[in-house]
Amino acid sequence: MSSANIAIIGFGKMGMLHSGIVNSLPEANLVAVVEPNSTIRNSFDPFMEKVNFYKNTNELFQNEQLDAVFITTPPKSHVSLGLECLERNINFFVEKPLSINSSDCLSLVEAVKGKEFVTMVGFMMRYIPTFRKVKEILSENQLGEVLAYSSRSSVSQLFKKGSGWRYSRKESGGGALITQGIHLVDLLHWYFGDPKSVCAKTKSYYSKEVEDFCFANVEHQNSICGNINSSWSIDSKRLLEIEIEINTSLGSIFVNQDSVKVFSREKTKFFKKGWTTFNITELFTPAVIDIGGTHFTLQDQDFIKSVIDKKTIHNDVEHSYLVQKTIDSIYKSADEGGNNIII
Amino acid sequence: MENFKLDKLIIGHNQFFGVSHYSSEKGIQREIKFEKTENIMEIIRHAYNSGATGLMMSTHHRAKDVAEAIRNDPELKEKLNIYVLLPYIAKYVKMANEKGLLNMVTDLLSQTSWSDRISIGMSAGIGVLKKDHLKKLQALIDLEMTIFKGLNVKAVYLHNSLTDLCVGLDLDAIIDFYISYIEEKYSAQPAFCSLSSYRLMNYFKNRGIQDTVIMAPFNPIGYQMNPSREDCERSLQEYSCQLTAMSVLGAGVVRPDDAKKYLNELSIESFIVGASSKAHIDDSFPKFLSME
Repeated sequence: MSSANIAIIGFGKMGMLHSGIVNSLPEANLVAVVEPNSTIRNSFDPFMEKVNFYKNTNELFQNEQLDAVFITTPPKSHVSLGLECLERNINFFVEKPLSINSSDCLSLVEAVKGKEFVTMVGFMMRYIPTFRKVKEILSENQLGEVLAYSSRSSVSQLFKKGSGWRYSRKESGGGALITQGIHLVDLLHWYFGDPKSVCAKTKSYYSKEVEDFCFANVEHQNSICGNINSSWSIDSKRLLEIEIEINTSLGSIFVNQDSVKVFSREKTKFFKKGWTTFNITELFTPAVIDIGGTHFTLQDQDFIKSVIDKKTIHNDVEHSYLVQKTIDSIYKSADEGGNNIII
Repeated sequence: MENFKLDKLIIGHNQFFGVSHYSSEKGIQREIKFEKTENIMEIIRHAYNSGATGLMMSTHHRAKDVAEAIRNDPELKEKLNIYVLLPYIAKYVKMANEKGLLNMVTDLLSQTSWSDRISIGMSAGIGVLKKDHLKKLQALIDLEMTIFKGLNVKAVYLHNSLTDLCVGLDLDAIIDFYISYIEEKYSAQPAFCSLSSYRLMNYFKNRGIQDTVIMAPFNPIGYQMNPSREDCERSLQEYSCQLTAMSVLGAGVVRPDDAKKYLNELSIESFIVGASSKAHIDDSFPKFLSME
């Protein structure tokens, strides 16, 4: 296979973004879009002559020969759509979160076990160069042993009651943490391994059913300790910002989307004594097209190349299930007034 | 448009509204500095007196106050060329997250004269549907353009997220509509901002659309130049367009002298730079304006 036939299920904001990227990649052909809402479907169908629009997945699977699909519907439908793809031997990318809670994901996790499918969950922060640089520093122990961290995910999104599926716990599974903080939780898994226990508090003010603020203490399997602070109601954060401070035996690392700042107490093989800064300008990784950030393009390209080469990806369904378990445990702890929850 | 010529030096607007593509920390510092519209106007006036004859303006909620202040300044009103960037995309992303994409569009259309908002006849043919949706786009553009009434609007750039999405999805009819609507309704030059200029220029070339006006990153370090600096430079040499270079200082890490040398080598005659202080203007503008 030199190029992959792709369909997008769900043509909302993320569906459009992935469609534009997929349609631009030389190794992919965007052949179809599924959108149940007739208003949205009729708004785009007349303008996209080369792409077939369908109102449901039955029509899609009856009419198209697909190598992979992108599932970009609200989270509640992710698992059933993933299972539909597996039944038909179709690889899939699914936007985060994998589902509204970890028990809901179990059937899908069981179904993919031992199968040669490529699955990916949309943890796009891994493709931002600054976060990749930190992964490199940590993987090679360039700044000694990791001891602790503190982290924050914040965005100016909600300052009045929201409407739609994002603000219904039944539909979304939760608020600021599962919607946006999940990117941070994924990075923490990627950097420090799976957590062992959590204790947390949440606060709702603008939302009725879901949290606007979440604070959690985390202990990882390897005894690294840290904390998470996640909110979508922070002023002056035009875009989602992830910040992590990592304290190691030799110094500290400060990372966000803009830069990596390393403080080394002594001169080492990798760092001079004092501060070393890596800015996004020097770490910038170009892509075929930039719609909403090159990291989305690099992510989608990685998925499609893995489909073509039949290679597995680390941020797959099984990994995402573990991220979801951490999120569930944080919510459980908050519901129980901050009890320590063993994951 | 015939006889259209870009201003050589255009002052950017991001710094006034807390937008920094380099550092969110820097963005906040600037947001504080420019809390008062008068502080923004002081920089705009100084930039204009120092040779920046163009100003880029998005539809950020504070742009309304800046537009009003320009309207109240007889010289700027008459002589400062306004380059509109349509729309301020973060506003819409936030709105879509708050209420969903469909509700957002419905709410926006309810603010316009568009009465038959989302009732699209299922039996309507493709041609009717296309026309119907383009009318809605007209209404949304008109809504965004209201704040610039009475100003000297020279060109209207489609925001890079929308340009690159339209090109990514091959939405030819929407691109064509945008070009003709901006020209006819606003007598302004339709223009395109892009972070994917290589793909955009190839798209126009393949469709036989020549002499477009494009704004895209060009800097000696290749920052935001997709898929590579070399590809972007090559497409610029091979395609006939008027280009405003953006990110010429690579978000602050390229020295003005080096940027100037690079732009000269590529024969780029127009560029947009942000300036947040008079000292910055005094230091960098003469260098840019002395370019051949």
